[in-house]
Amino acid sequence: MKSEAPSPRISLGIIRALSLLVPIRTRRDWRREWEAEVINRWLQREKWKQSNLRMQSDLLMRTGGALCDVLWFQEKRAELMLVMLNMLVGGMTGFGALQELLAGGLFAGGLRDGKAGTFLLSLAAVFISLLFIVSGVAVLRHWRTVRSLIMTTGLLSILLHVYGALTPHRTMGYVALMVGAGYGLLMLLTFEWQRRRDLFV
Amino acid sequence: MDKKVSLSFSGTAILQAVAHNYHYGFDIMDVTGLPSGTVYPALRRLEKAKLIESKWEDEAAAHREQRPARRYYKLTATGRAALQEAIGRYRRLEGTLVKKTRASTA
Repeated sequence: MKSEAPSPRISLGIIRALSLLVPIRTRRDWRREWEAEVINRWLQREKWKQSNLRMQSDLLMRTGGALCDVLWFQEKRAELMLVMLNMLVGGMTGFGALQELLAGGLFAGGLRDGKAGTFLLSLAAVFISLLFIVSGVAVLRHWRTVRSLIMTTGLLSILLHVYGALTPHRTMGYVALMVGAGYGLLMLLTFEWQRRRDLFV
Repeated sequence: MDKKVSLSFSGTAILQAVAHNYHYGFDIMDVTGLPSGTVYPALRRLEKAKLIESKWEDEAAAHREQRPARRYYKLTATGRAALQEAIGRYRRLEGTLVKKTRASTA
């Protein structure tokens, strides 16, 4: 059986595959940098007095870190995802609340029929849905007030959905609770993680 | 206006390595002992914060040595200042710790 000459083929294959996750404008340079490092190290194996097997495993360990490097490039995508989810959750919350207010007749006779709690809750939901949309725009346009907007929206959304899903009034279902409170928390954590990452280099 | 950034421990170690002529990603990993999953994202952040800049080696020179051209990283003036500030911070911390240890053992 013919044995092939050892080469850093596996590491280069991993790099080639991972490069597909890098944004197009930086992909070529990203791949070139990683491939050059791997090939250079491979060529130096004599100098480093490492066996082929040891060098292969060392390169594989190093190449594994390329995944973290690729994730770093997802920053813009994460930002766009945050904006889109904000719009979606804001739209859903607003739609549900407006439906309660208008179609459910709350707007017309809510206060008279002793449904003041539900009426106010729906109004708060409309307000928070607007906050979601505004904070999405703030993330996209990098407004100065983006942090306070995100914090306020996230916390109010959690409070509203937890309060709305509690008895005795219980005007919100568990799906709304999961989406509203869950996304509110996720949004807070994602934003704060990104902000801290930018503060410490 | 540029945002004020604070150097983390890994950021400081990487800047220190670059300042000591370790210009390539894998060489920085070797000298700092940090894994590639830490070094490369840190290099991207440091470059984004304009503390370092990257360039490609001369293709012809690399070709003569029968190897591909590598990307190298250089400290900027802002990076040098940030490194000095961070080193000063670590020295002050060390001074405080030594003082406190002496006081507690005395």
